[in-house]
Amino acid sequence: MIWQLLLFVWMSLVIVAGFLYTPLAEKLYEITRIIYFHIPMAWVAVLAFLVSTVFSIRHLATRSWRDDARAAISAELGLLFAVLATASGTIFAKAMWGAFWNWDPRETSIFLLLLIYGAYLTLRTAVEGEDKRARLAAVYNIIAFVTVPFLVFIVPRLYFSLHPDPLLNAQGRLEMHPRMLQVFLASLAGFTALYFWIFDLSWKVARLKRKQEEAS
Amino acid sequence: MNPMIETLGQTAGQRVVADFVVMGVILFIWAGVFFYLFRLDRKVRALLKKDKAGQ
Repeated sequence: MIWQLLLFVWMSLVIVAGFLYTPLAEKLYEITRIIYFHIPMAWVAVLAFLVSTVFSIRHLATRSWRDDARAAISAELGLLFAVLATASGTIFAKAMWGAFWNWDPRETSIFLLLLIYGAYLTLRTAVEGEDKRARLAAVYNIIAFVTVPFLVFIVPRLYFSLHPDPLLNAQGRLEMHPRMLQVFLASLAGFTALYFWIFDLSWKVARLKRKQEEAS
Repeated sequence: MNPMIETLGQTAGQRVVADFVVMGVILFIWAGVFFYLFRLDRKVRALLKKDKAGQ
């Protein structure tokens, strides 16, 4: 309970600091603030897909419904955060490039990622038989994650992109004002904790549902 | 002078007010999400406790 209240205070401070403590980035003006929300959301999406894949691999080894359920929960959360990152990205695109959607390499790659993980969740609802569904979903999930490094880190760097350099630029340097970096890292930590909290909560709900199903 | 502000025709004062409005909206959304999750967490904990006691 205490750490949850701490998370509330932490994230509230991140929001306030993003507006009152940090300077505006050159050429980005007021839209600078989106950095503290958009990038952490994208990071959490990748983390959630990674966790989901780890549980899918574990499921293939253990054949336990627990690992399958956790893989599904994490993939759902990854998709949720990817949608939020896309939505916040469209606000940035409208402010900086004049249109919500430009088919920029980074926009296209996240669109493909949404399709891939949307298909994963569709697959889970389309297959009957728990064991078969879990196995098929696990294999699909592992293959799906192979595309993540390409779509998130490689493809956007291969083509000309309007998108600003991510945190680490092409020269491998961190080019951010120290105050911006502090708030950005604090936001990253806060969003990561939020992901693990929702994951834990969803897992508890899944366990209760399972018990109820087994009892009835 | 920030060209975006020139384009929008806002004064510095208007810009500060807009910043506070956006900050307030984000804080409100975050508070809503947090209290929803917090209540849900408490309910789930209570259900798990009840379930354990029933076994």
